[in-house]
Amino acid sequence: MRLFSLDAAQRKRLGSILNTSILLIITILFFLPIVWACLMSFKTRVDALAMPPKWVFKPTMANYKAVWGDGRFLKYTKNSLIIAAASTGLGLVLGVPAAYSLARHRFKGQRALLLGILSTRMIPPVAFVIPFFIIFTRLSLNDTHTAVIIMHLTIILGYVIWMMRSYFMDIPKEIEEAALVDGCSVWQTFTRIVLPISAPGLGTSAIFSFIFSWNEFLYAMVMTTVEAKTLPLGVYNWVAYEEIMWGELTAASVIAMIPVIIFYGFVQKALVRGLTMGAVKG
Amino acid sequence: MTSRQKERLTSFLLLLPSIILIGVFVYGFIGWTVYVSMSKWRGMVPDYTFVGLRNYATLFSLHRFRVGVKNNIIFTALFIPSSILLGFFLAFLLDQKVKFEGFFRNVFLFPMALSFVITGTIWAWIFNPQAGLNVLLKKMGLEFLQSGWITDPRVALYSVVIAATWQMSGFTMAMYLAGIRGIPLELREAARVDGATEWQLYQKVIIPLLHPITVSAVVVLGHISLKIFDLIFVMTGGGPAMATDVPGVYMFMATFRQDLFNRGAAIGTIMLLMVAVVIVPYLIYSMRTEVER
Repeated sequence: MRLFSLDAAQRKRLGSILNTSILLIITILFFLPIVWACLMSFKTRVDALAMPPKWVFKPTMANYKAVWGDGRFLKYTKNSLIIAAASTGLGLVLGVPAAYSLARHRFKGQRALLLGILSTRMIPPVAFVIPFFIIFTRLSLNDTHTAVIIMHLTIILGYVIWMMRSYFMDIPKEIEEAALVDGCSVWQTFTRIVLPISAPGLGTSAIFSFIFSWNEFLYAMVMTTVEAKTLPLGVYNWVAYEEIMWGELTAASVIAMIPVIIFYGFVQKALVRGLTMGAVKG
Repeated sequence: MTSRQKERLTSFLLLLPSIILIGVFVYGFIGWTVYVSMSKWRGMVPDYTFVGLRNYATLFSLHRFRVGVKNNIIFTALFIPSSILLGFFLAFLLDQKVKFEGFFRNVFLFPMALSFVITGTIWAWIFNPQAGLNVLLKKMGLEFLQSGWITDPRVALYSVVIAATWQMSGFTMAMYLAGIRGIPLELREAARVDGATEWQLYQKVIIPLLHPITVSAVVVLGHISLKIFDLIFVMTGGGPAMATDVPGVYMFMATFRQDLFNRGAAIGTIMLLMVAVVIVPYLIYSMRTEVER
């Protein structure tokens, strides 16, 4: 009977224990796919196919060696780094001043313009990928970094402008006015006062853009065949083989996950904001 | 020139490169795509002979396209509620003054940062009948739950929905949690003082206040779902027997594997319209509130 005659405090504790247990179970289920894939990447071919599966085994680096030993994979990683860095850099150089200009000046049709910029991230890429293909083929830019960089830049730009505009709008105008009174030019105010204050926003935009480009699949698949192939395509190649080499495949996936893991702490809020575009301030 | 005019000019020049890039590469190219979709262009040689809406008519009579649209609608109808319910449930649990809340939040959001290609790869392995889940079920003595998963036409689409829900429910969780935290504490205290249980508090006070968030979540998940390509392409390639085929996958195959540029362009345009139906009213609405802020 004691069980049913709990006082309020006891009931509360029981509730919180139950609550935490459910959370822990869901956490394990959420992480299982990733942990499992990681374990798989350290297994030998024999251990990987063992029945029943081995949870305790002698880890091997063979899969990683095989993946790295394959020169193509190294090349894909390099391509991904170049493309992500270049499209992020260009996105910031072009997008940040544009965002500042949109935050500080109002003009007719601005709302429509903002809507047009914002929509670029929501429009299905298949609705404008064909002309890219036509033009880049005509210019013989097929399978080059340039082609993929320009495609990624187009998407990144909308995000950077939107994100940075909301950062700039949160900076009190008085700070800038004070700088102008002190004799700074508009450009000096922007570079010496506004940009340093917005450093966190710049960082988030940069990392978000980098990860977007790093993860992107469709454009890279349409535009590249051999030389400029990116990492997601390299991973996909392993899936598409006749007999799937799960060890190598999971090792490749883990490598492709590394930047996401490193930067995750910086972008998790931006992930949500990036999708809702400021509709919800998370 | 006055300094004010000068400033306006500078500001315009700062904006110009971005406007040109987006204007040409996104909106100009959409127009070009629509143009291609009304042409005779098949094969590698461009042919812009105008045929009106004939390609669209053909498309809607094609079995593969109709199945794809149906699959995409089913996928959307399952993916949105499952992500919303799971996300809301997680937010509810996290709202109960949990220790290590930040840790749990990070875990649930993490899949969202991954590429659909990685998600697709990992889940293709979990749902491979010879590997992954089936092996685990066997070990646990639950053989009766085993299935062909992504190789069984009856189950494949649901398998893909599970993977997509895994990736996106952290997003709805974060949105709901922010929403719940945005509700003034006094309101909740008042309800508690009036003797409301936690359940009643949610039912009568919190859930109605979260409606705008649910609308945002449905719109965001809806547009992701209607343009889905990578996840399905990697996990199943649209198979088996078209069980997971969606317009996104068909568009890619038609255009870049079969060189049917006019057909691919038509599919792309239709997908754009489907997404627009969901997103345009929402954008106009949120833009109004944003600008007035």
